Amino acid sequence: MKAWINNTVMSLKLTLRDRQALFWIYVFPVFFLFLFATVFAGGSEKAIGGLMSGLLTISAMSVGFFGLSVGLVVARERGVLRRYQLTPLKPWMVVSGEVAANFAVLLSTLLLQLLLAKIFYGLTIEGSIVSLIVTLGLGACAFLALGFVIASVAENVKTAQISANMLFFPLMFLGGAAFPVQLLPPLMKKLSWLFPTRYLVEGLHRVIVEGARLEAIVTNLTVLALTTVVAAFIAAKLFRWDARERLPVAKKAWVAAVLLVFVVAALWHAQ
Amino acid sequence: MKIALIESVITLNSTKPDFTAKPAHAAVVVQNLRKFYGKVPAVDGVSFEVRQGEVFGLLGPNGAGKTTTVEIIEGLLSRDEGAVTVCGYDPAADAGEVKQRIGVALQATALPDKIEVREALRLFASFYRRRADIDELIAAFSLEDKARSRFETLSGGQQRRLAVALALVNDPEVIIMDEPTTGLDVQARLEVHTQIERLKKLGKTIILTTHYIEEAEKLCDRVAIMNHGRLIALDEPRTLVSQARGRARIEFRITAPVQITDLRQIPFVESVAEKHGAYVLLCADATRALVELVKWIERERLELEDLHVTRSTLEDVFIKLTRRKTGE
Repeated sequence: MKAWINNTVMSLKLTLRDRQALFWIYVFPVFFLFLFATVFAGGSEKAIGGLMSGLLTISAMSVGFFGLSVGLVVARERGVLRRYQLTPLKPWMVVSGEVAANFAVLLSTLLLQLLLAKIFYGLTIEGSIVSLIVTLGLGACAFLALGFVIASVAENVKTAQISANMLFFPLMFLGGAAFPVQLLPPLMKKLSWLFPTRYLVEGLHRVIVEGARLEAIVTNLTVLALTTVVAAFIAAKLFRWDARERLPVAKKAWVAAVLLVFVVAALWHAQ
Repeated sequence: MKIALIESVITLNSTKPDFTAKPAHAAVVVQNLRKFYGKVPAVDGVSFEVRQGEVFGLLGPNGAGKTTTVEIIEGLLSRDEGAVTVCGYDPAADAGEVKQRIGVALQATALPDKIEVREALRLFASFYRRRADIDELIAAFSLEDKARSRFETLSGGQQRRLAVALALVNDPEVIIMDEPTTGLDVQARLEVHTQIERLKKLGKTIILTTHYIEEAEKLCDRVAIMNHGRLIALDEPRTLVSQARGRARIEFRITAPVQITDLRQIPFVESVAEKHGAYVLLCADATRALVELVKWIERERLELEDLHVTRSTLEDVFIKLTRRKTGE
């Protein structure tokens, strides 16, 4: 346990030492917060609430897809994971430490963005802090788990980056993170339930703007929790420690199980 | 070799069912090890035993099965057949216990870019029950000036020294080094050699894979040569070399061409070849053959232009053995 704590604290320290990572995790989203708040919300208190859910979701997605996923693939490709494998530290301890460090970083940037929005634009959070933290936490878990899947499936850093980008943009635009799904054509609006972003955006929106209690957004939370469990399970199953090891194509089919979660959830909503 | 193996097994079995007991002589025992990738055997029935305190070299061309064998010993890979014991533990069943007792320096490993040298050693030491003195390690590997430097700023040689230092953070009983000097310049390679010799003096058991033959000859007490997943030779480097029938090579040039058949008449000369205008004699007794050669040259009123006498090296053995097996 002590070894796990030491290693997790070190992962966290190393992330905070990486200037490039700090820029993407903290500076970039805050820059967008100010840009969006000024351009789209015109600094109005009411409109800022509507923007936050999308911005927070994008932030969660980028830490999961780029921070955790690419980070793990780089560690695998450079042989860092192999070095760990030679120690008595259990494999799950290494990965969970990396996830925990990313979770801490992610949660801190989400809270920072909320705090800045409150200070500079007078954001009021209608829902309770507990509801907010639970929703943010589950959302962070879901996107970290999805990032873990990318890390498990991607052959190398390049394919990890390509897959992350290929997922990032549709999820951002079609899942309601960049702009409200109400602006999408009716069919796309229905299909947007296929995207995990939709569940987090909506959940956060209802907590922040409408003051919804957790019971009211139980569907969103369930989908996010299910995503976390299924994605983490599959990622752990497919994860490789050694870059020389190749993932058989048949095994990649497991990824379909993650998609199944969203298909079922979308069908549920279509009824 | 076989007798030694049986002995160590008996030692293993005759001890009371105390699981901390170790065999008296063998730090690592590998018996009839097999590992398949699909249907292709990567390791095909390999047996050897590494005695406590010896430097054991594993030699062979790429793809010979060295790395697979070593990774099975380390508990990184599972085996398909055979038995392996490391410090009395089976890496397949007790990987955790094996990893507590061994230190491994692999060629293709790295650390996170931003981690500092001392931090890395401290962190990795904290994963083990038994810990070495970090400051001593830093001093032993001449990393004092770099103790607070990040991994990304270290030179190749410094990174390799750190990799070896990291393998020692748990004060291991058995140290495994997979090609510790591949890709290093001469200076850095000599530094690693000095470290290995220092560890040997401390009584550590060391398994070394390499494809530098001089390295094996210089550092190892015994050398195993692998090819195509099999062990094709195992002995002291000197014995292996003398198994190349202790042959010496005499290479010389003379003023005028002579008949090869005439050279073959010289006593103690076993075979003769002509190479780019020079003559190469292989012989069992270099001194006597030389004397006879010089006499013969005088008799024939020729003059010696150039002369080299070399002993056959482990490299000759290696090439001879691996060639025979590949049927080249």
